[in-house]
Amino acid sequence: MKAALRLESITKTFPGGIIANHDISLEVYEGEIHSIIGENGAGKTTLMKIISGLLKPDKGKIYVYGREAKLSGPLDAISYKIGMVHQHFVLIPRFTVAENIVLGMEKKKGLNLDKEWINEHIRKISTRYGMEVDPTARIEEIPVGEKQKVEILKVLYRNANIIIFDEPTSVLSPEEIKELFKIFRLLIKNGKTILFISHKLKEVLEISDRITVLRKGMKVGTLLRTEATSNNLAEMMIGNKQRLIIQKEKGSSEKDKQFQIEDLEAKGSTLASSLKNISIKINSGEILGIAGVEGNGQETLVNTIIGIIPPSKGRIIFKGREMNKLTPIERREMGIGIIPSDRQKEGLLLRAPVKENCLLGYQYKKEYYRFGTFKEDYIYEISRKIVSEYDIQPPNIYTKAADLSGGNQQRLILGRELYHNPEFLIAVRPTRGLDLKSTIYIHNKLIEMKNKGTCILLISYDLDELTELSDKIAVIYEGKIIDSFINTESEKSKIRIGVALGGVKYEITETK
Amino acid sequence: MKKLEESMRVLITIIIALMIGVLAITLTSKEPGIAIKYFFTGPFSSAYFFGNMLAASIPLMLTGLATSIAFSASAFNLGLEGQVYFGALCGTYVAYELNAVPPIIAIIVVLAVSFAAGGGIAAISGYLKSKWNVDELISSLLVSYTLIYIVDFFLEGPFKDPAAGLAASPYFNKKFVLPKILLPSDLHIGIFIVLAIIILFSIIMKRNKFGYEVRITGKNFRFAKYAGIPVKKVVIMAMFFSGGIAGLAGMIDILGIHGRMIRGYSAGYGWNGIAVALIARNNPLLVIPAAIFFAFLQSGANVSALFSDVTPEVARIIQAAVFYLVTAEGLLFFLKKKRMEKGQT
Amino acid sequence: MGDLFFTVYRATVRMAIPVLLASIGGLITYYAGIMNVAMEGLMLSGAFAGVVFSYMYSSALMGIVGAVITAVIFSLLYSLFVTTLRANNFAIGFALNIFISSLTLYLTRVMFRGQNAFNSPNIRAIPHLSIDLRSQVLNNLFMNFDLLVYISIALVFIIYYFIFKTPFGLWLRAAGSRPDALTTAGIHVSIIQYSSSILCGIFCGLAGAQLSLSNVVMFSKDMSGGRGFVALAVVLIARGKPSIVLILSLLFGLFDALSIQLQSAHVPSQFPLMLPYIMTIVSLIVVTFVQERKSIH
Repeated sequence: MKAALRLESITKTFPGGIIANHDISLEVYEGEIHSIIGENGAGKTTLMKIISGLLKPDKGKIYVYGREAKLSGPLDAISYKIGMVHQHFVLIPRFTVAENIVLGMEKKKGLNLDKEWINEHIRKISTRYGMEVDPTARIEEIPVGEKQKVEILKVLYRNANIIIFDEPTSVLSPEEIKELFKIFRLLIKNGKTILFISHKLKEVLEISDRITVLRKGMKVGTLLRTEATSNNLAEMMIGNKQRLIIQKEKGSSEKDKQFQIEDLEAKGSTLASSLKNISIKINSGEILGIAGVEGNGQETLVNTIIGIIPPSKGRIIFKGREMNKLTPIERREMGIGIIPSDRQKEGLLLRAPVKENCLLGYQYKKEYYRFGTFKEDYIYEISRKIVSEYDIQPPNIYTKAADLSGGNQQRLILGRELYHNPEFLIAVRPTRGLDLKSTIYIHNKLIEMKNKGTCILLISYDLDELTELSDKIAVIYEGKIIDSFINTESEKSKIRIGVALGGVKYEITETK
Repeated sequence: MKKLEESMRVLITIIIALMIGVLAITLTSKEPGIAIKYFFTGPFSSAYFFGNMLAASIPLMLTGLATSIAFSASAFNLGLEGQVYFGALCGTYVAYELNAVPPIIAIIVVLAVSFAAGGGIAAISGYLKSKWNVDELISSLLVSYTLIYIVDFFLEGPFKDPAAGLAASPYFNKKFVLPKILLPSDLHIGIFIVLAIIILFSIIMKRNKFGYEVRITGKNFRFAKYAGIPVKKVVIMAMFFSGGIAGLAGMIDILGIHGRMIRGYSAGYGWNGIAVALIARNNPLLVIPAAIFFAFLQSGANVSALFSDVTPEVARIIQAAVFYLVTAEGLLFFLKKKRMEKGQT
Repeated sequence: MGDLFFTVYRATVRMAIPVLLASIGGLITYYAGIMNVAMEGLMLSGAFAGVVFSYMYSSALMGIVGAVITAVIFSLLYSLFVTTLRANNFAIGFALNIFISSLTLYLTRVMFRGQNAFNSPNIRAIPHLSIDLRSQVLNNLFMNFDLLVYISIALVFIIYYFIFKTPFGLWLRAAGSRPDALTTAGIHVSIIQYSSSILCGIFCGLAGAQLSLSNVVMFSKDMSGGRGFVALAVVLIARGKPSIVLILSLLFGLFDALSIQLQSAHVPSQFPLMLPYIMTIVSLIVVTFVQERKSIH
């Protein structure tokens, strides 16, 4: 088979001596779906940036269809017909779909943009690949799945033959993922070559022709799909088969330790994210998993529980006490902890040292102050304890939070929240973007808390996570709980969640 | 290591700025040697000049502190000019009315009034920002322009001393004027009050709960909400303190030097305060040397203008140049990056 | 009554132009993602250079050219620090404002031995356009303004077209909201930002020329009088909409004109003078309030 893309001993070192890629050689055949997998920090993204001309390798050569390619900028990559669909969409919300697609390669008529030609052309490409989008719609108005299609169209508009997808499934619902894979097959049928970056084994096994595994900046090997299993891939990725989860214990139904919501209604930023008549109950020592596609009211629910959004109806009850009127701080005082969804924006002060981050959210506590000023030695003690107990690397409480890796940032948040022994913990996407090792660590900690009797509300988009951890699962759709059940068998639960995620038609028309 | 690098950078910046000043003097003066000599040595040549230099730094320290407090909450208080001026007017009026009250009480009341007046004005912008998300940078600035006219109106109308040749209020009780330190200069004990205020706020901002909440709000607004911090209140309070300190800046100058309110006496205090805060990188303690340096440039130029043919405006050019160079933190960053890239290839 | 109307109307147009021009300049950098705090200084540099060049060459055209070139140079300096050296744009903007304010005053004193102002019969004002439209009313409405007035109004439409219809406009708007979208499309964001800065410089230079070569024919200390900041407010209030920029600038001009009228009446001069600022604050509050309301619903 002919190689569409050949990498020869690519090496890239970042300032400070971090080796992102070391001597990576790789062949991607024409017309195949070639997956690159590896944990966070394995060097996948760096490698892709090198291929798409955003980074220059220190050493090594790149051949495109047999010709050596000098890639010193995105324009070069375009001229070699290499395109990249970015993980975080690079789209301008206020622009139309068409404007986003043509940006930088505008077709002109006189001085103007030739809108008619552009729209027509985009429609043509999009129908060919089964991605119906309206070129005149604004990006801010279209759903996530369609935004991704726009990203793909951007690449196709530039006539790319080799298309890199950087973790494209991380933002999609299971339905959307299916659709994406359909598009993949159509692309291959039309002679394109796909590089698929992921760390989700199941998806990789489903769609790839061949799979290359990276670990710590080096290539571990390339397998045919027929040779690969999730076990051997996982072993190659982390070099260690174990995926230890502590044994779960049963919760208790003592009334004075329960967390309960009754008929809750609250306004969100959109209609779909406004809560409509939500009731849930979490017993002590139980994990309730909330499944749902992003923007269906999860954020509103969390903000209502912690007291940022006042509910318009219903009751929030914890330990037998109604909390509706309490301030966020009074609620924390009752023993509520939170691992927010966006650890950098909602969980940490990135520019402040670890030590200051250890106080965050609990700065109101009197025990931290003496004569109105901080008890430095006491706070030093606490931060040392959190850093050592949660094995935060580097173990220095003066490191800025921004300089920690994602996994360590999450450990810091976890450590801070668990230090105060919460009786009710809200964990929103606690393992978002983390590698397998950190994910397992966090999962174990959550189960440990549960076994100690904490009520846990787990909000996640990751079905594996939900079904692995939860005792009960509720599915939220357009601000309503449309299904809830006890999680006994994870495969069955997944199917049940999958059905509910799309909502049920006659209920949609009911909403005002 | 980092500290050393930082101070080296500041030093280099100051040297470059002074060289620009020397250049400006050389280009425009017929006797550059004399002008430059007085420029550098003038402020230290006598107790009079030295004391005046320190006296001039007093309001700048406060306006610098005011800027940095608002900025810690990620709020820009550009209304300092108006807050200084308005705070001083209110304080002066109260001082005038309190004629018979014992000085120590009168002074405390007067300072409290100017604090409240300046703070109240700034808090309006903080409120508008919190409540309706009105940009505080613009609103405080526009309110300030308006206030200056309002104060001018009082000084030229209802609160004008008919006997004064210029637009100024009547003198208040002479006993309220703060004692001088270094006669015959203008330096007064207000400088100790100011130093105490700076130290107090430096402790509040670094180690107190309110200061910590302000910094959290400034650094990460969304997080602050999650942490249960009443962010709206914090922003309003930070603006209030900022404006209040600006009001004090105006009043201390009046209490220490003028003994009455004079039209336009504080022009530039606010703007220079912003410059001082930026040079001090929003560190309340560093505001002290930054303000003194600013005052040094000003009095150097003033002395030089007395004894040679340069005009005092040369100081403003050097001040602006310092400001320019110090704030251009990217400059060294840029050079360093270049060097690193070279080292790599 | 008719006379008063025309007096106010004509003053409105004249006073609105500097703010309008600067706001358009600010609009362009706004789209490129820079909140331009330096417009106050840029305008002032234009006003000063306009007077100097007009005086030296006894030519209004040279005055305008000088104003534009000077403002562009300072604008590039601003860009150099903000875009290339990554300095804080507020800090640099203020530094530039203070620098220009002191430099112009210093040069006024050194070059012209003036105190706080410089005027001379040798400074040529911008000529007025006068074509007889054969109707007193039409003449009053449309004629006898200086040439810059007509040019500015034409520029509003040209810039509107430029920002919203051309590829460069697309890039400009992209640079402000998602610079990485441009980078990945192979376009250098810094080039776009520099271009926007040059354009802003041109507009602020023209605004300055209008101040010092038409509304009055002289240079005086800090004669931009906060108009650069008002222009910034106008841009922020309008959130990038040229039509609102036009309306607000005219409104500012109207209040400026009214304040001139009131000053000749028996009102203490400070009240008319603060009117334009109050108008701007009120519209800032009203517009923000309305938009916040909208975003909730």
